[in-house]
Order: sequence, then C-alpha cells, then structure tokens
Amino acid sequence: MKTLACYSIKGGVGKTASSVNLAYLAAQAGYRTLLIDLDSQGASSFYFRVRPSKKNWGKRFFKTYEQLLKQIKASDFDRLDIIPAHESFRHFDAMLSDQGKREQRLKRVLKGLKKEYDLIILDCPPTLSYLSEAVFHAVNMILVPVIPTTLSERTFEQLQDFFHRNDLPDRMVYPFFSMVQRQKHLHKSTIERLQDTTPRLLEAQIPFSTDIEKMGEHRSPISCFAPRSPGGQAYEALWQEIARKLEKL
Amino acid sequence: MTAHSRWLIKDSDSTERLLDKYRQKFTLEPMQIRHETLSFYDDFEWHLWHRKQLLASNNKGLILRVDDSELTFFDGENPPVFAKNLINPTLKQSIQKLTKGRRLFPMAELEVEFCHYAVRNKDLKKVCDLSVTLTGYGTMVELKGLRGYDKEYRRCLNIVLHSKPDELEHHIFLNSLRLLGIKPSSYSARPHIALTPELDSCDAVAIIASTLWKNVRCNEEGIIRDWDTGFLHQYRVALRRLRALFTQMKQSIGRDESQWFKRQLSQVAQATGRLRDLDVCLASEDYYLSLIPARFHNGLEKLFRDIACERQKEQKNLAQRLNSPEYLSQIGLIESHISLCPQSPPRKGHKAILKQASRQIVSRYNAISMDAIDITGHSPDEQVHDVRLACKKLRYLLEFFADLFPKQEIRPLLKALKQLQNNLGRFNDLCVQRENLEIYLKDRNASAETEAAIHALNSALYSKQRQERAHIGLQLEAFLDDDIRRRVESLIPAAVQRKSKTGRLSE
Ligand SMILES: Nc1ncnc2c1ncn2[C@@H]1O[C@H](COP(=O)(O)OP(=O)(O)OP(=O)(O)O)[C@@H](O)[C@H]1O
Ligand SMILES: [Mg+2]
Repeated sequence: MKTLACYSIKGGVGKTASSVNLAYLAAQAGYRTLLIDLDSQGASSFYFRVRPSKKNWGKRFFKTYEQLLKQIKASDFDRLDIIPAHESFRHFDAMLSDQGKREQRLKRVLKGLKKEYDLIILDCPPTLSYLSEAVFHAVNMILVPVIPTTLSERTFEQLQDFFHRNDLPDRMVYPFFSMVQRQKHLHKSTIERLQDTTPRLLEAQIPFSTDIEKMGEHRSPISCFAPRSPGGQAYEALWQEIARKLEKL
Repeated sequence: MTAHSRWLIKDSDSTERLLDKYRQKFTLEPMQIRHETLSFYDDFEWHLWHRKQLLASNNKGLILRVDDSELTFFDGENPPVFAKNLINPTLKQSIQKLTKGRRLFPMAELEVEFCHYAVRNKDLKKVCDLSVTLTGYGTMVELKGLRGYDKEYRRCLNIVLHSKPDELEHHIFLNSLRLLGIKPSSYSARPHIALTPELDSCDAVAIIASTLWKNVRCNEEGIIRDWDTGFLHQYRVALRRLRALFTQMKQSIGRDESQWFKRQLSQVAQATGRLRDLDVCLASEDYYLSLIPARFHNGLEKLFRDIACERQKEQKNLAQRLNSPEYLSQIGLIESHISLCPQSPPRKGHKAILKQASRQIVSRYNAISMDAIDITGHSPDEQVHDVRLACKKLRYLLEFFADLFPKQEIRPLLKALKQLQNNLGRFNDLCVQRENLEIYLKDRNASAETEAAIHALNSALYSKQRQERAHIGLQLEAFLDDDIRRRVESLIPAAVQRKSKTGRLSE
C-alpha cells in the first residue's frame, strides 16, 4: 500500500482538486483507492457527494484503524472509497498535542488499511501543524501544488525550511505547478526560473481552467465529466507521472 | 462484504410497478440499458452446465460468464470455439480447466435485456445498485449495497420484498434455459451403470456392454467432423473398456462369445491407433519445447509441422473409414451381437454378479501382488509394463462394478489405484513417446537439425522416465499395503468368504 498527501501551507492552491482527480484516476487505473478528507471544510467529500456520519467521531480518529473502517463510504466509482471529513476534524491539532508519539499516530492507524487498499490519498488542510507533521511521517509522497507566483514560491520555501529544521526527508516532496496561466507574464517567468532549480519538480502542469472550477457544479471529478478537456488531460498526465514514481517506491 | 441479493419476479407489469416505487423514494438513474441476443455455449460433455456455469456470446465481441450466480462481462472476445482462444487470461484458464480443452458448441439462445440503475439519494449520491434482467421467462432484480450505505440498502430491499418476489437460487439465465427446455445430453465419458447385486452375471455384462457401446457410437460423428481430439480418445476408451469387460468376464458369457467380441473390437480400434498417437504427440509440443534448449527449437518445430501434416491425412483416412460400408456393416454386426448377448451363457453366467465381480477383483489384486513381488529398482521395463496392464484391468473392474459395493470401501481403493496408475501411466507415456520419436527418425530422412532436436528431446524424456521409474517401488508398496488388501478382500460378500478358507480366491 502506498500513501500520498496533497499538501500546501497555502490555501486555495488546488490541493482538493488534485486529491479528487488523482483518487478517481488511480481507481480507474485499477488501484483500490481510499481518499481521506482530513480538512474539516469537507471539500473533497462534497465533490463526491458523500456526507459524514452524524456522530462526533473525530476524537476516535487516531485510536485504532477499526474506527476508520466504520467511517468508510463507497464513492459512485469502482474501487474508490472515501472517508469524509467531519466538522470535529478541526480539533485534530488539539487532540494530537497531548498525545505521545503524536507524529506516528496517523501512520499507525493507516497501516491497518493495507489489506484493503493499494493507495491512500490524503487531502490536507492548509496548515503547518501537528496534523501535518503526522501526515509527513505517514506518507510515501507529498504532492505540493504551487501557483507560479512569488507568494506561492515563498510558501513552498517555508515548507522546505520546515523539513530541514525538523530533519524530515525532503526527497518525498514533489511540487508541481497548479492553476497555471501561461499568458500571464509573472506565471511564465516564475515557471522558467524555478524549472531548472527546483528538485523533484513534476513535469505535468495543471492549467487554470474553467472546467476545473465547474467541478463544484458537477460535484464530480473533471476526469469523469470532461476527460478530454485541457484540465482533464493535465490531471491524466499528472497521474501518469505519479503512478510511475509510485511503482518505483 | 457489501450486501447483495437477487429476486425473481414473474411478470413484467410488476417490474414496472417496482421501478415506480423506487422513483417515489429515490432518484433512479438509468446507467445502462442494453438488449442482447445471447448464444450459450457448452462442450459435448456439458462440463459447464453440470458445474452450474454458463458461457454466452452476443456474437458481437462480448462474452458473458455466469459462475453459479455471478455474472461477468468480457469485451473484445470472439464467439468461443476452444477455451484456449479466449483472450482474457482468467476466463481462458478457468474455462479451459472446466471444459478440459474440448470444443464449445452453441446450445441455446436467449433474448435478454439488461437495465442497470443507480439508486441515488437527495444529494444524488449513489447509495445502491439496482439491476433488472429480463429474459422473457422472468425478471431478475438484483440489489447491491454500497459500503457505508447499509440503511439505504435496507430501504431498497424493503421495496423489493413488498412486491413478494420469489427467491432465486441461481442466475436467471439458468432458470430461463431450463424453462426453455434445455437439458444436458445423457452422454458421459464415465457412464453410471446401475446394477443390482443379485443380477445374473451374464446379464450384468450385457448391460455394461450396451452402455459402453453407446459411447463408442456417440463419438463417431465428432471423429469424422474432427471437432476435437476428445472424440477419438473417448471412442477408444469405450472400445478398450468393452474389450476388457469381455476378456475379464468371459466365465459369465462363455469363451466363444468373449473371443468373438475381443477380435471384432480389436479390429475396430486398430484403425484408430495412429491418429491417436499423432494427437497425443501434437498436444505435447509446448511441453517438449520447454524441455530442450532454444537452439533445438527450430528442428523440433519442423518435426511438428510434419506431424501436423501427417495427422491431417490420417484424420481424412479415418473419417473415410468410419463412413465406409465395410465399417458400417461391421458395426451393425457388433451391435446385433451386443443386443443378443448373452447368447449361450455357461453355468457361471447365472451366478450373482456381486459374487462373480468380487471374486474377479480379488483375483486381479492378487495377480498384481504376485507380479509386483519381483519388481526392484533394476527390474526390466517390460515387467513394469505388465504390472501397469494388470492395474488397468483392475481399474476397469472396479469402475464397472463400483455400484455394487459400499462407496466408503470402493473410494479409497480407487484413489490408491489411481495414484499408482498415474505414476505408471506417465512412465509408460514417456516410453511410448520416445519410441515414436525413434520410429520417426528411422522412417524418414529427417534433416540434421531435426535429428539433433530429437536426440536432445529423447535424452530429456529419458531422464524424466527414470524419475518416474524411481517412484514406482514406493507406489506399489503403498498399493499392496495391508489396509488396501483388507479393503479388497472385504468386497467379497460374507457368505462367500466363509466357503473359501484361504482367502485367496484366484481362479
Ligand atoms: N486548475 C484550476 N483552474 C481553475 N480553478 C481551480 C483550479 N484548481 C482549483 N480551482 C478552484 O480553486 C478553488 C480552490 O481550489 P481547491 O479547493 O482545490 O484548493 P485547496 O488548496 O484545496 O484549497 P483549501 O486550502 O481551501 O483546501 C476551488 O474553487 C477550485 O474550484
Ligand atoms: Mg482543500
């Protein structure tokens, strides 16, 4: 079983859009896939029309994997299941703060799912916190969407600093460009500048696309309702690139 | 893990009403509606049907498989002829195993409509899968739950249950084909022979003979049309069993009649030997190639092309023969003799079959024991062959008369014998194959390349043969073990046992 996270310190960069589409494409490719929506906003869950259980179960999230099993919901698509976010996930940081070995907690509960799934995708909230630390320890790959602007570049550098300061291996961090608008001078020059200097930068780029924005109306992955559109094709290319890397891990 | 159930609804009006009820409570989205004319396939022995399996094709690239009750679709498949031509590897493997490589024939047709709906909640999230399959002989309603949506599944289930459906044990296709009057043929490679213990032994022999004879005749058309190699094989097996029956039970029908049948049956079988050898050889091509280094492959492939040519000719000859007036009149003659059998049974022919058969079995077993005593790791191969033939005779006896004895006694016996025979059989096959290769070399001007390949193959086969030979001692020992002996002797009815003091009842 492989685990990957879509993560960025910055909000609104396309983490959720990527999680949703990659999860869909992985399942289509034959991976038994579980998407876990760690963001209490529940955006991924919304895209798949999955509602969380009414119970306030967030406080049991890190206890045992059986707790997670109970919350799994099938998506409309073969091989793709979802653990929808619950409002109580807001308190993850507080919960983790008074637990021992907190950075290992997530890794430990996810291990229990390895019989059932080939791939777990985590959609993360935009924070640098105990939860994100636990995520970094739990996954094989961290995908970081980067909008090619100076501000976005800065937050990516912050993430790298954090990894160095905390002795985390940055070889699992894979940035890629998201919401790219080639006609914008700033985007173009940022991409050109970073392309040769950023380690492990993925080749695939996700363009800014109204089809991707429309995922909210359709409440389904773009790869499902408009696979041939530029946005759909871009996610397909991104998935292919990631799948090759996953195979080698 | 997720809930799943299937139900039968007999008339189509109630199906409509049912769908309406779903529409009231949920959003019903049609995902797929297709109409297909399906041809169902099975082999000559109905292997699939007997295992509650179905294989169908829409003759437009789609194959459907029903495994007990699970239906699976396979795209990009031609209508099946042999399992080995199927493309999907899992499908191919399992059908090949089930049909034992036999040719598939269309056996029935059904018009089918598949409707697949997604049952959705207020968010338009799918909460249950609903499939409705109509065959004209009934409607199958199938519900599949989704993980995490148990409550919704139960609501869906209640809607079906409300319409008071019938339970459906198997897939609707199976039900529909039955209603259509499709039945498997009564042919069986190992026909069950019902005998009663008190039957006169001569009459029992006649019953067995006429059953086996039917198998000979049933396979003729398949041989003539060259449908698959199984027809010739089973034709020969039936002849061989018949011969064994008449030889071994000669006390029951009399020496002359037995002799007559033996001669006739041998003649009929003789004309088929060459083709069978060639079939066996051709079937081992891949195996042979795997036994020798790649540099010999060319030579061997050339040999196989030659053999394939010869086989075609041989098949034509045999087909001609089976259509010839000579063959037909010989067959007619045998057939009348079988229906008149027994013509003048000797006194022993009126003894009860149970007694006769059990004596015969014990005496066969003892004969094997005697032959086996001298067999060591170094005894000549001929001696091993004698034991093999003796085992074969015993096997036939046990099979003819299995019905007369308690199953729990016969089964372990057959199992032990089968193990020994497998070992002996493989040993013998290797001998025969090597001999055939030698003959090929002598008879033809094989190219240097082919000659080298045959030499390489022969030595590979020889070492396999020695390996098999090495196991024979132990296998024999196991078969002659006290437990098996006791079982064999227990086959004799108590009343008869008391009369013979030694327990050795050889004739
Ligand atoms: N490639 C794109 N082109 C156009 N719009 C996009 C693209 N990717 C995402 N969006 C839109 O941008 C918004 C933010 O995207 P998304 O929710 O995927 O980002 P996020 O990083 O998960 O945000 P958050 O940090 O709030 O979780 C959404 O409205 C989404 O529809
Ligand atoms: Mg998000």
